[in-house]
Amino acid sequence: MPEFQSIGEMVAAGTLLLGSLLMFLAAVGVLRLPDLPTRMHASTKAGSLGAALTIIAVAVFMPEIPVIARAAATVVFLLLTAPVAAHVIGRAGYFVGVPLWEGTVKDALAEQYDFKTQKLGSGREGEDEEESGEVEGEESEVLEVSESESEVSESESEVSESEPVAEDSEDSEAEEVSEVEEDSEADEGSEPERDSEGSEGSGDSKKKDVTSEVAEA
Amino acid sequence: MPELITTIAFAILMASLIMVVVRLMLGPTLPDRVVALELIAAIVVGLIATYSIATEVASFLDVAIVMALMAFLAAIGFARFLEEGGARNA
Repeated sequence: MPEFQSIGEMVAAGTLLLGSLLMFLAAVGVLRLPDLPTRMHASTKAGSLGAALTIIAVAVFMPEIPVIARAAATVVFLLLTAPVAAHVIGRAGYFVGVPLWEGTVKDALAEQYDFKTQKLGSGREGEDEEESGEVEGEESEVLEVSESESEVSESESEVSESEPVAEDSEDSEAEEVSEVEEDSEADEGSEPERDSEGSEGSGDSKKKDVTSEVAEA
Repeated sequence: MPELITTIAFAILMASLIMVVVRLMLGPTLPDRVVALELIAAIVVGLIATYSIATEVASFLDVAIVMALMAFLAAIGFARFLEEGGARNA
């Protein structure tokens, strides 16, 4: 058994080992979990807490004012920046079109963005339309009392879907993109994931261009 | 601090570093690699803290602060690079 010279050393040893084990846990999670958000879930929380605990161990081991001040500054900085960095990377990854795990139950952000801003060009338009249809059906079930109102809203939504001429061009654009996707996948079947991602990315930029044109018009 | 404790901590941190480097090599997408890089920076901060305890030199904490700062800036930079349209899948 190791011999400690003081209680502070024991506490420092415990915090150090706990922090190392937490970072080990984060590393296992990053290596084993299936997709980007779950990996970030492992690395952000366990990783930053582990680093903070090891630095706290330094402060406990050497209880002098300069050391404690620097350790506190480092811990505060870590705990402030880890969520920001995780948010920014997760946002970028989602919009770039990193594929989610095939066992994903619900992609709430896709529904949200399709509901508010028509299209986001994330490469799963068909699923989005089905999901939004389900949502409308649920709403009509809930609002059975005001059936006429729900009918009006449905007709309005139909009008808003068919109304603008620019959106038709957008749809044709999307169809072209999907054709391109199929072609590329047929050409290079060795790495279907990457191919679909690449075509999604090009579709992304094309649709962004179209939406900017619509905004200018 | 007994040498055994710091040795165990070093071993655990090195093992986790190796696992994260494996994830960094595997990818499969650029955001995955950025996440791995961020965790590598956090583990290096832990290594520096452990080394600071093992050698009883408190000045290494400054290195840890700089490491954390650089990791944060790198993450922000990579995210902006991705959203503004850089290489998507490399």
